[in-house]
Amino acid sequence: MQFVFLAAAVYAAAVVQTSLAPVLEVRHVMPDLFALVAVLWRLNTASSIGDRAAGNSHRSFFAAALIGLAFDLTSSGPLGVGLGLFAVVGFLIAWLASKLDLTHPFMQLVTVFLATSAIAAGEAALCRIRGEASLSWATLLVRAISVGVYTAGVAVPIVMVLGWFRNVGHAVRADG
Amino acid sequence: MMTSEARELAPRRKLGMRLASPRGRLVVVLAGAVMLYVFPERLVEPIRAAWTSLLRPAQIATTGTLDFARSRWNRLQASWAAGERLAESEREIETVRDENRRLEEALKAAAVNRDDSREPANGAAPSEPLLRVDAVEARVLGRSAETFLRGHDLLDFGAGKGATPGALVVDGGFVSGGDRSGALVDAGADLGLRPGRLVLAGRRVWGKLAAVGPQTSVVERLTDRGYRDTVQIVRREAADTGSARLGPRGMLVGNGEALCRIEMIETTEPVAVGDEVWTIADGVITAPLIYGRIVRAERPAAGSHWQIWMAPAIGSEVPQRVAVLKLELNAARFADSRIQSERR
Repeated sequence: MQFVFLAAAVYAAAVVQTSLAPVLEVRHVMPDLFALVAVLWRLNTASSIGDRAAGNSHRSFFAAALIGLAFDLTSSGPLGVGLGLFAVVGFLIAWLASKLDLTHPFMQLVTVFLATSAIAAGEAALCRIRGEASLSWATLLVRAISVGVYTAGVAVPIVMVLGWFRNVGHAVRADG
Repeated sequence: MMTSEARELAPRRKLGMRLASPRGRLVVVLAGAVMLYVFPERLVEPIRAAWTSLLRPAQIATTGTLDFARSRWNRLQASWAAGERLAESEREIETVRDENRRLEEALKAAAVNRDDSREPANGAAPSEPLLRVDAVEARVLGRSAETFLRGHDLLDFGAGKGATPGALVVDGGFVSGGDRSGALVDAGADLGLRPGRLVLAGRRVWGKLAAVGPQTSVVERLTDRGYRDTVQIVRREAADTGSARLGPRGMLVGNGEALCRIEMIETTEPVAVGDEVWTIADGVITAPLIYGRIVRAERPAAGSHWQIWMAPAIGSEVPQRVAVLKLELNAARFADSRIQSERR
C-alpha cells in the first residue's frame, strides 16, 4: 500500500515538475520534487528502522534509487545519473538516521536541504564534466544550494503534515 | 567439519551476505546506474517515450487547470480593476453632479437677479417703448461721387422766380461746393433720414446729419466748426471691471480743430483727464455712444467753468461705412394698445 502512495507521489512530482516549471521557476532555480519525495520517503522509513524490520530499510533504499530512475527518465540527460545519485543520497540518509534523530521536523528539513543540494550539485558537476554546462563551478554550487533551499521551503508544509500524521499514529498505537 | 559442498558454497554465501548489506546494495545499484549510463540511446528512447506518454494525460490536465486558473485569475483581476474604475467613475459622476447642482443654483440665482433688474421699481407691468431706434447704413462718398451727383442736380425754381440764362448759382455750403465742411453719405430722405440724426462708426459718434437731400445727406462731423451737442462726462471706476460713474453734463463744441471743447461744466464738478465723454441717455438709445476722451482739463483761476479739450474717439479717420440713427414710432406699441383696447 505504501508503495502505491510512493508511485502516486513520484508520478505527481513528475507531472508537476514538467508541467508547472514556468510557474515554479525562480531565477533559473526550481525545486527538485523527485529528490523531495525520495528524501522524505527515505526519512520516514529510516526513522522507523529501530522498531521495524530491516527489510523495510532496503525497500526504501531501492525505492529511492527507483525515484532516481524516474528522475532520469523525466530529464533529458542520460539514464543512470539520477539513479546513482539518489542511491548514494539514500544510503547517506540511512547512515545519518542511525547517528541522529531525524524524526524532528527541523532535522528533516535540514536533511532535505542537504540531500537536494547534494543531488543538484552532483547533477551539475556531471553536466559540467560532460561539457553540457558552461557555467562556473561557483555558479553551479550557488544554484545547487538554491535548489536545496527552495526544496526545503516547499517541504515545510509537507514535513509538518507528515509529522502530524506520525504523532496521530503514535497516539493511536499507544491507546491500542 | 565442513563438507566439500559446504566449502564450495561458503564464498557464495559470503558474497550474498556482502551484497545484502547496505554497502553491497549501494554497490549493486551504482553498478546498475553505470550500466544504464552506458546504455545505447536507441534502447533508452522507447523507455523514455513510454514514461512520457504515461505522464501526458496528467500533464494535459495540469496545464489545462493552470490555464483555467490563470484565465479566472485574470478575469478576477480585470473585474477588480473594472470595479475600481467603476468606483472612480461613480465618484467622478457624484462630483460632476454636485458641480451641476451648484451651477444650476447659481444660474437660478442669476436668473432671479436678472428678472429683478428687469422689473420696474414700482412693480408695474412692462410696456413696449413708444419710440425705437433704427440704424440706416450709409456709405461715405468721395470727391468723384460728389462730382457725379452734382452734374445731376436740378434747381426747383425757374423763370417765374427770376432765374435767367447765364445767372450765377451760389453754392449753399452743404451738398455742393468743394469747400464745404461736411461729408457726404449716400442716404437721404428716401431712407427716412432727418437732419440732426447721429452718424456713427461702430459705437463712436462721427457727427450729425446737417442737411438731408433726396438720396444723399451731409454729415457735420463733431470736429466741424459749429457742431454742438449735450454730452455726459463718465469716469471709469476700474478698467478691468468696466464699471463707470456718471459725471457732470456739458456742451460739446466743435471748432474746426482736431480737439473739441466741452463747455458749461462748473469747476465744482469732478473732471479729470482720461474721463470719457458719452452721449446723453435719452431713454431711446440704451447703449451709450462714445464721443471721445478728455485729454486736457483746466480750471481757470477766475472762471467758474472748466476749460476742457476732448479727443474724438473716432480720431481723424474717415470711415467707409457709417450708421445713421433713425427714430421711429414703435409699431409693436400700437399693436399692443390695439389688442388691449379690443380686449376691453
